[in-house]
Amino acid sequence: MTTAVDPVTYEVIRHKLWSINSEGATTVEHVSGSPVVHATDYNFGIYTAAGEMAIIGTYLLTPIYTGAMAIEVFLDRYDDIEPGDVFIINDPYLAAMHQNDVQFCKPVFRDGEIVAWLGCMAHQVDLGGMDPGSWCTTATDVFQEGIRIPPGRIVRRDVLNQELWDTIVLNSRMHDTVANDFRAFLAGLRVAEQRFHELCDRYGAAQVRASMERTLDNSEAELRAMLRELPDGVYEHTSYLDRPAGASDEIELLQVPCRMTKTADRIVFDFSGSSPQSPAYGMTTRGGLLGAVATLMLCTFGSDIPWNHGLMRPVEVVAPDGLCVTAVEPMPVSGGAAGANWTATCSAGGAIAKMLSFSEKYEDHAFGPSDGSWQLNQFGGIDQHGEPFASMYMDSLLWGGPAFSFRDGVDAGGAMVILAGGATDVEQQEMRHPLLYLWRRQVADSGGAGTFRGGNGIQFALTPIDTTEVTGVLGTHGVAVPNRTGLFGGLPGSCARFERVTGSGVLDHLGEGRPVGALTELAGDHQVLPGVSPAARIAHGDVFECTVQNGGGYGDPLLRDPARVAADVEAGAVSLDAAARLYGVALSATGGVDSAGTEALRAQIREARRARMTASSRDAVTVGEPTGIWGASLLTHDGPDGPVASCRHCAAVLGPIGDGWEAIAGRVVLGPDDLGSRVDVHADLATVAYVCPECVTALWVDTEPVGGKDWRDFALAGGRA
Amino acid sequence: MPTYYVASDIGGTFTDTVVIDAAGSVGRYKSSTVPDNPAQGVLDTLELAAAERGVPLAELLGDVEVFAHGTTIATNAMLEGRTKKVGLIQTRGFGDTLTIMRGFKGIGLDEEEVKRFRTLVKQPAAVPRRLTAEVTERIDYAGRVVSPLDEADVRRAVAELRAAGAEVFAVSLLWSFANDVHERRVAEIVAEEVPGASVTLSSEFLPRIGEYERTLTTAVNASLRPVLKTSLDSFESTLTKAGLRADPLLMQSNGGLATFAEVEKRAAATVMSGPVGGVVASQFLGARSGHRNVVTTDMGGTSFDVGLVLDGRPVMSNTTLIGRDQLALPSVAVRAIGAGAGSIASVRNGVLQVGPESAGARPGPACYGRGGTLPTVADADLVLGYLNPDNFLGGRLTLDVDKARAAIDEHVAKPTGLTVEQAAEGIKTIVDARMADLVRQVTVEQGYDPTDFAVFAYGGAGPLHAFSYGAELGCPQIVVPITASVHSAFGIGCSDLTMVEELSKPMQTPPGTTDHASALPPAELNATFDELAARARRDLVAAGAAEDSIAYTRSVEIRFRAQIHVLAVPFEADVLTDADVNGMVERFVEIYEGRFGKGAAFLEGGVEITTFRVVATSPVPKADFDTGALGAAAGEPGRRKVFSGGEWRDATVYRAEHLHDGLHIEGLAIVELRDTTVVIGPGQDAEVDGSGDIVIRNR
Repeated sequence: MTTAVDPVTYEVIRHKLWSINSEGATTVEHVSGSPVVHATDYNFGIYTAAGEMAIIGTYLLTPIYTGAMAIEVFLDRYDDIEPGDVFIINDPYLAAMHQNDVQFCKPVFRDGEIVAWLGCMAHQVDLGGMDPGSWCTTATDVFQEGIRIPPGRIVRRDVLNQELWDTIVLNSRMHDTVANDFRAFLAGLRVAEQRFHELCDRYGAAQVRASMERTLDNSEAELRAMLRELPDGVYEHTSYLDRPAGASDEIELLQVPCRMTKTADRIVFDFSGSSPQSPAYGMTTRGGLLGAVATLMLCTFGSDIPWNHGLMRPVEVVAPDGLCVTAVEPMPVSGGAAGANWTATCSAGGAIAKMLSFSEKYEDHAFGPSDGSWQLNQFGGIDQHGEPFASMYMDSLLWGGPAFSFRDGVDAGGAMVILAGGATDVEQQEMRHPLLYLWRRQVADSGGAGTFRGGNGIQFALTPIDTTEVTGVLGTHGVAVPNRTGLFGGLPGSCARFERVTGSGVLDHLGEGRPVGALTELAGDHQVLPGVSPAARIAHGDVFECTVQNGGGYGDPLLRDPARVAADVEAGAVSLDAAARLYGVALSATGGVDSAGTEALRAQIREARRARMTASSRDAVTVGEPTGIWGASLLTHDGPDGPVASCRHCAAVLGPIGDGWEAIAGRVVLGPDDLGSRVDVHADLATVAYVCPECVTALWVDTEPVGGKDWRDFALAGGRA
Repeated sequence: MPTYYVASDIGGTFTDTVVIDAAGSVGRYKSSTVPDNPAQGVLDTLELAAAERGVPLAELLGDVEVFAHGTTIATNAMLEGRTKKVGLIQTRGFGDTLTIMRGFKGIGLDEEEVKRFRTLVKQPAAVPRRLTAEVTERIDYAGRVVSPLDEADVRRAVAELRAAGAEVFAVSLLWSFANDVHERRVAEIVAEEVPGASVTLSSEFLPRIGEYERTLTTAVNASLRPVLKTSLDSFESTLTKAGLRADPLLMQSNGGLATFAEVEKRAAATVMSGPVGGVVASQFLGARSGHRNVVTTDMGGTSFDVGLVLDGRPVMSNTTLIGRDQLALPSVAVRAIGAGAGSIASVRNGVLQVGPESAGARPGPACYGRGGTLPTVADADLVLGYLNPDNFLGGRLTLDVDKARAAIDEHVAKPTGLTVEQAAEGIKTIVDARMADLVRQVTVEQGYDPTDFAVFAYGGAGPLHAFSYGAELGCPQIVVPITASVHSAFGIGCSDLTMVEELSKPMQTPPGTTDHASALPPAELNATFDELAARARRDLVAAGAAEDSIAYTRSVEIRFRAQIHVLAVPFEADVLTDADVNGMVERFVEIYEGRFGKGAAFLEGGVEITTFRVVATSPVPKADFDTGALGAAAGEPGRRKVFSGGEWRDATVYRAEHLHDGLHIEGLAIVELRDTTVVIGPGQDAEVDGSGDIVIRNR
């Protein structure tokens, strides 16, 4: 393809492609009546003839890559693709995150040749399987789950494949809604195709194709240039997925380590060390894994670069089949939209942050694990109008965002995977469903403490009203391990939790005019529910509470500006206890900073750290001026045998870091008193602070196996920083 | 004695005024806005009007029967944070409502800003958490008291808020619109604790379901009321001192006028005061010239605003976006992108982009000679020959062609290897395409095709660019109204006194309902509408409207229970019967499918009415204006070269005095009016109609 496009025509075509894409998306949204579609769990895209993403919007991001995978499958399997064909697929083992995500793709032909593909996907409310909603948390194989649709043609030469259509629609509990969404897909594709042809009529197909290629080439070139500015090496981070182990109260851990190798202008993400697949909750397929990586590439490297496949061209994802992140038949994968691929997002996100932080130019791009777990809160029963209801509460989207090197995480709504999403008003929910909210509020100290703190998240409590009971389908990970670790000494955010109080008599309590500030103020039987609770009964008089998993901090909390801590305390974002215990900030009776008290408190915390520190081995090395940084923690220098680090806080020379830096730091194992509220750490794991042996400032805090970790945060190629 | 009808639009840069006399002749005046004293800018324009008529200002003002205006007071106070500190009282357990913001962090941002995760943060909450207090009480969805109000708790909360610095109070409790007993009692207690304090109750100001937007809007309103009152008092006294006898009126975001006394209670309802005027003007002129469906396009210095008139009525939005906050107040829907005469062109990676950054009024485009060095759309228009450097803004500003060429050469032509003219035309092509894309998007989102609409073009730069974006959209007619340069002011002068009363009162029909009147009894609907109409009537009469002049529109916000989109559906009848209720549901299905596609309706699941609304209007006296008296043909039009389609071409150049009823203009042509320049493109013809509007058609 060598057609040249002048810069004006290019810009006009580029904008028109955006306009076509949004017109297609608007059409899908308009024709579909599905609430899930309106919560932006859908996307629409324009792809090149070869199936690369050319234009993609900011919808739910995790399934963004599956369209490209689907087109690759169609091109691979069919050699008789013709104008008027529309392809369909939802097979998670081939090109979807889970069965609910049905993808329609249409080739656009000009003069007998495919010039582009149009694609759209939306989460279908139900496609059969053992549980309504097809999100089968207790399935042990794929055959208990929703219908699997292999790559095929739902429309052949403009004629609807009625048999296939009927087969799928008949297998849903919600025939009409699914049929309506499918009609919406066809309408959106039709509108976009027509507009695409108009564009080709006006500017010529060659110019349009060349413009699409150029947007990809430009983004790719910008990304490669950025990568070349970063040091070559291996960067690693590990995150865990916890789930109930069989019928006991035990919780088992799956690991999802990411080993990222950056060489010149290429990146390889290697997840080969992940736990093997198993017939239970949490499995994800390769589609989910690639979606996780693609989402991160867009939101880290793509923050100033136009989003398209150019941001994935220098990327390779390595993982053999049969792992928890690359599950194959017959593993159950209906929860694959929110299982181990979220854990992969956390581990890959950590690895990327470790690399970006070697650059003063890009350290502000780095952020810790951004999205911990999707807490499924689906309730059903008979509503106050005497009618059956089933509803997924979107409140659990309101988690805190990760902290950056220059700002705090966003409180209550910091999600990366849905950049523009949110939840519904309490009153709208109460009007429709028989559940009275007792509170929906931000939880103090739930974001990880740090020089910049992680975003706090919400907690909401419900009690049935005008009904006898409702049933909850609950599912999450992250109840026994914080997935949201911090960066450069920032602490992890709080864990996820489902709680229930049975027989609380809460409505009588309220009726007497007594306030209820917390579950602990209620009588009755208090229970923490398992992360996967497929049939939680919430009867009249019971209270259910969901607390979300929140963002990690950035930098040692002892270095946070005390005035910011005081402001957080005044706003209720940080408790007095945490201000003293984690930040070492003493406040006066009027809430102002007590400077002398703060200094004393911080010194005291440092001394306690020093007393508990396992010292590192430090060789005496002389170094010259610093040549670089590693985030808030290290300065790098050229040493005689490779790079040497000094503490960025106290300038003490720590030692060589070519083969990792862990050995030069002191270690302090953190206990509950050192962490924020509700950070629960599984018995097999420990939260460890790597500190400067000289000034004991926390340089990195991680959650790792009790016996020590078997990976390194980084190992620089050729020992060069 | 002459009688004048006067309307002013006080914008950020200019104050525009129209003066219409009893004979219907329309005078148009423009002056710089005086930010600290908005009345002065108005008086400056009226000085021009008085001078033109050879009368002293005081005499002209004394003869003004109606004075209406649009203002940016509330908008600026909000955007600049010059508002009063609000102490907010909420239900226990829900004091974080404003800070949680329902979790949305992208409202009011464009796609580029949304995708930049590292800078994607929420705007600060309208009320900081330390100025929010919770009180023990709870009312449920049916309006029942679940937990009684703890009065001692309220007194404690008030004391706390005062200590934290609260200057005024807002109260927004859950479900207060269903039962206002607790909010009313809180108001009494605040009055006891802080005598004379300003208190705004959500149940009184905005009895609408949805606690986030209701609380936000109530709090914003409370914070603006004292500010707006001070400004309006001083505005009124300045004009009165100068001789104005009429009670001044103010434009609201809903496209209607209100007295100062009324507006003071509903300060937040004026944040779109200025921009909506242009849509109302287009509705008014469209009705005269037979255009029932109009896309209104207002291209100014920094933004391009698009509104719609559908079947003779402006398309309304249930909310008003101000900055990044979405207020739950109905407004004339206006969508904007950062594309204006001041939009800056830049090249990155060999890609030419225009906007959204703008050079603003200062330093402004390079050609303004005020120190700007970056190339803008205005610079391109000048280089291409569309703008006359010696006849810009009526000759008040001489444009510098050399500076424009130099800016384009350095920042666009050299980096892309184009000539200066090619680069300038490239800038114009890109900005025109972006505007066309926005117009298309706005019409398509409403379920319409742009070819069903006439384009009305106004604002400083709209008439120059409309020929291009209008042609691209395939709209049959592009209309540059005679009032183009003062269009919003003109629209304010065309508006009626308007009062909107709303109440959320959710009512559902069970799934499978066919006789909707059985579940939505007309008697109950009538009672609610009557109550709202009575309130609106009371306020309009207080504003001086004759009771028999008031017209009422009753509508409900309704949705399918299984779906999301809420639409406002009007009733035709004053007293509803079973047939009217069933007819309303049918019409809802019709409108829904028109907008969202055939088969999108899901009536089997039942419907849900959430909110009742009465819009009451009473006409403000106005002259039947006449702009037909245009200049008698005075000499031949001139000619100049314009760079179009890659080459320099001859264009005919008309001036205002050449225009007359029935004048036929063949493109490529330019019409230089006093404050704006109109372009008729190659391949287009234009006709001047009896009103002086220039109607452009593709050949």
